[in-house]
Amino acid sequence: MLNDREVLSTLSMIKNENLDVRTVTLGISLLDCASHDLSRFNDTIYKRITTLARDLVAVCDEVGDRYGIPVVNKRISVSPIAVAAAPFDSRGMVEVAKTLDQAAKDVNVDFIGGFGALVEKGMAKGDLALIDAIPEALDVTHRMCSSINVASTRAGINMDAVALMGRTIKAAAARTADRDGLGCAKLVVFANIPEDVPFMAGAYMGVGEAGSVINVGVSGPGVVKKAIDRALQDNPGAHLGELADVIKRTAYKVTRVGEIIGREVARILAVEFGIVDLSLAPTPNVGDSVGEIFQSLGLGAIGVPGSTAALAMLNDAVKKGGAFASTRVGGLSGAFIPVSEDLNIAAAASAGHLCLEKLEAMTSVCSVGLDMVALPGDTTAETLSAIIADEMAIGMINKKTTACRLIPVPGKKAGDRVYFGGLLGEAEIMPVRSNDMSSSFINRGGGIPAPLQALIN
Amino acid sequence: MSKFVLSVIGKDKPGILAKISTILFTHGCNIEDVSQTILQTEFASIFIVLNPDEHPLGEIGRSLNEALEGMELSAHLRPMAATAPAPVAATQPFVITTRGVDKPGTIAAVTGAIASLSCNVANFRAIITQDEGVDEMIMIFEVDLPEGVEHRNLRRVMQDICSAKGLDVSVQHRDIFETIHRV
Repeated sequence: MLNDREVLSTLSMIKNENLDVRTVTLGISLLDCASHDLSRFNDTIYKRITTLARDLVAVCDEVGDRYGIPVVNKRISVSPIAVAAAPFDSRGMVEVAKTLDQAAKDVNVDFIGGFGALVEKGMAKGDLALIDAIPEALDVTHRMCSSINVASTRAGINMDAVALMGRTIKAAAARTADRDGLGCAKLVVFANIPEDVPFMAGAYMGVGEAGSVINVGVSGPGVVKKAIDRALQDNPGAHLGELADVIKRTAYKVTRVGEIIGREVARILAVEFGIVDLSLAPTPNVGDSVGEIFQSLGLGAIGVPGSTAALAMLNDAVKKGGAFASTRVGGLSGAFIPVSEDLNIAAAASAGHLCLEKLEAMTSVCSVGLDMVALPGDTTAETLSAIIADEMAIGMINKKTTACRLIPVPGKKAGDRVYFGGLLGEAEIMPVRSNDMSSSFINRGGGIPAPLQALIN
Repeated sequence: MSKFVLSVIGKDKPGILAKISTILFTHGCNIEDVSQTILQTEFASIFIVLNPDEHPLGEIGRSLNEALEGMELSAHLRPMAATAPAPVAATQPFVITTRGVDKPGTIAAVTGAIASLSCNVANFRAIITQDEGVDEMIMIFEVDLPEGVEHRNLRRVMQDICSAKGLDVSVQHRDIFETIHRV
């Protein structure tokens, strides 16, 4: 017999605290679709995706309905297109992008990810063609996301790729200038990209994965915040260790929800169940914010001194609770701090509490990086590359994933507002200090060698 | 070997179970299954009892009621069929939770809707709380939904009746509650 508290607290988490499953992502390998014939390749991948994902949305809705937990987004990730479509030039890559977008539209998923390349050590012909195609591909598609891995702890940082990505981001912004550079919101540059991320824009199907797999991204910043608030109401003198324990217990509950939904969806679709990604993923809604958690912990705003420590505690507690709750954990697993996608973080940036440099410091202890950061339109490609290089260095040295999703908004300057709409949110453009002072460093190219794995202080 | 069902209700106080089990023991009976609950000040329990020596139920009942009368409790016994239980049809466990202002007839309407789908109510609790000076009732039904009935159908029926009665309702598979709260 269930007890009343179990029932009522679950309902409260769903109805008042925005507990949901943020995404169920179906990973689909396209590696065996390889062909030298572009139309044949496009036909094959279209059929593969639309066949495997035909029932994805309906099954997610059915399972979500059965448990009373909304599955907010249904998404698809595919093998890195730079590998699967390696024979094609950039025009061909754009056609592949259109095919992916059409397939996503026809099975009614929110996004499809995997228009990407893994170039941490070097760029092959297919990689260069794909990166060259990114600006146009992001312009002419609606649901397709792109991610490029330019660094890893084992390979170091490919600075040629970093330089190229700075230029690519600028070009993507220019092509979507009428939409505040929206193309860049679907483009991420990674260090140590995990092969099983279910969250966009970084989701792709790793080459070491099965033929198809269900990965789940849970959510729950609102649930964590309310749990902290309740704990402090009961015990206003609670110390941080006690609050870390509250976060851990809450993360356990949130993760269990993802686990049960993901396993059931995988069972019905007869697809292998992959991982649960434990990330706290905010949305631009009040009560669904990672930034609000910082305030509940006692900081005036995210970004003020103490924020890195608070984030380290939050991130670690989420992982501890989540790891116990799931049989397989993966993806990014931590707290996201995407500026425009979190009302509270965007407000802290507008108020001057959160600057680019503090955000960068915080990314050394959280799961992603400089995420959904709108920058002045005159930020040079080299400065973008330099910001990316700094972020990649944090990931490389700390053996963790870091990423940059930077949007240099054409024609806008620091302090201007930018609107991306939907989950991508809105924000004020953050100033970039010392723009255009990194060109010589970036233009040297080459690579930053992989770091020692000992002598790690 | 014969069995009987015993129910005891009345004012809750310490020592009720000790008194009942002692009397049953002195009649050579063995308690096979028992469940009890307390609602506000009232105690209610149900026992399934093995009666290997075939003691007359009237005699056991008299002993129990004589002992319990002074404790403001009463006992009721009835023989239980010894036949094997009928095979249970496959069901899925769902939890229906409603919340709204406490009005006469609400429980009858909601349970009537549940029964209309041949759902068995396995557990039911009603909690009255005060919300801004108004009595609010939360009802939690654990029901067994026959496999042939779509859970969406259950949800639709419950939403229809609850909307007519001014109640919020949610219908969820029971596993979600256990999954979230139990290790």
